[in-house]
Amino acid sequence: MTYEEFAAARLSALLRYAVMLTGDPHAAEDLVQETMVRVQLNWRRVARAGAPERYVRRMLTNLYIDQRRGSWVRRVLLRPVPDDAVPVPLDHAEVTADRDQVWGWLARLPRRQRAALVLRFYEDLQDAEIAEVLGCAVGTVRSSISRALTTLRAQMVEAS
Amino acid sequence: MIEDEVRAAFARHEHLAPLAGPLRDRIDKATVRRRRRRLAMRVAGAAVAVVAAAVTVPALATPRAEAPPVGATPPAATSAKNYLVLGVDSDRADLVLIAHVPADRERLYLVAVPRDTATKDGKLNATFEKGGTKATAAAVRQLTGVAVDGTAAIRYPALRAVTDVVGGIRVCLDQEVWSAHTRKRYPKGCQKLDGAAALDVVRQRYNVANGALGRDKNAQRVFAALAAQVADADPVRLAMLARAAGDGVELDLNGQSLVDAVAEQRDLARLPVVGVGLTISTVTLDDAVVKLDTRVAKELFAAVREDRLEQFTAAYPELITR
Repeated sequence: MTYEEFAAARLSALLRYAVMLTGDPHAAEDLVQETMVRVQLNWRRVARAGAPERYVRRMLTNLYIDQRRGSWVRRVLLRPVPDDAVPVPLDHAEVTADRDQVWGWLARLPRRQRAALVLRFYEDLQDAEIAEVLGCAVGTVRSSISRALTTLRAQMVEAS
Repeated sequence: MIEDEVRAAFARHEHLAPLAGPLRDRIDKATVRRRRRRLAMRVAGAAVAVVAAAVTVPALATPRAEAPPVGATPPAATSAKNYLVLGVDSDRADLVLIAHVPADRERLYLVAVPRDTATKDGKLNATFEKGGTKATAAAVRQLTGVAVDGTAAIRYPALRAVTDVVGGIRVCLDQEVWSAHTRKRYPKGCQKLDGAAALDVVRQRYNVANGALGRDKNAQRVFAALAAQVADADPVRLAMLARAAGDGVELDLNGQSLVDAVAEQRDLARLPVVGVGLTISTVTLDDAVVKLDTRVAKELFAAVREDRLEQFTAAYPELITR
């Protein structure tokens, strides 16, 4: 497979995954762009790994988790004006205030926990596969998810 | 059930995903830019070769001589080396770089030492004025703990001459640079610089982001671009370069001619080069002097002394010059 074939097949899926991780279309675009630049520059190494899809998802997830002030975000990316390519979000009236809350709570979770939730409840991966993406033990995956759900449950109780 | 709420929340926000088509183009353009910058940074090796060739020869020259006699003990493993590379403007050391060659010879690092660093009697750049290369090497050792295996000093007129001989260099600046000397404006992004322009850029301190520290990064870029040009020069060209450099390049050559030394260091010149520079937030600024007493600065020079720059740059990627 060439890089072009990979990008054509996977870019949309990666963008959706990135939106679930970051909660924001601009941040998602930046994250995918940075990941794919590195993928393109190192395509031979990526292709050699056997399962490019998994390798790239791991790269993207790590970039998301390791993002901090002064990291590649500030160094590489400039975003003064929003893109036309980003679709306007649905009218907020369409979504009840109640259900938006979950999205807000997700944003406040530690990045590793949020990533674990996305991998289980959006990408529908098994715990062993999640462990591979996050580079940790299966037990750690389970406790991350459990902790995250506990936090969300508590917030839900508080809100009602 | 909270799991269902989470699943629904994700599904509900799928529409936020941007379009893939336009992003494809942006990725391709960004890749080209990054590749070009990486290529430009393959300098350190070449820059070290041009400016400090003779210094590296004893340590790194591939043995061309006879094979060791049978039964002889195997040669000692290669160790990391450090060389002091100075950019000299008139009689001041404007640019102080530690060229670090790790033991694994995988790449070369150019670590910038701020010229405004406070020393026992004044600033680092004034040390050169008073005591030359030797005194500067001693001061660097006192400030960073790094003892260098050799030194090279290149005077700016020679830098300008060499740049012109190679037909100018292509440099990518990450911020616009405005020259206090010539009033010229060098835009952000990639551009061709002739000798005079290269010097101009390397000299600017006040209008560069991060001040003198930012100027060090531009100097690394200029050296990198120059080295890239020189690395592919044929012997005739190299001879021209040596002549252009004239006595503006002070090297500890051990009797070898500059041309021979550069030719011998071809492999070295092809190693990837990584520029490392401290930023305003990682040093102490006390009036007009820089102090290297911060945790990050100490870690950086400890990494140089102990040949751990790969780990250091992985931990502080923002300090790498791109």
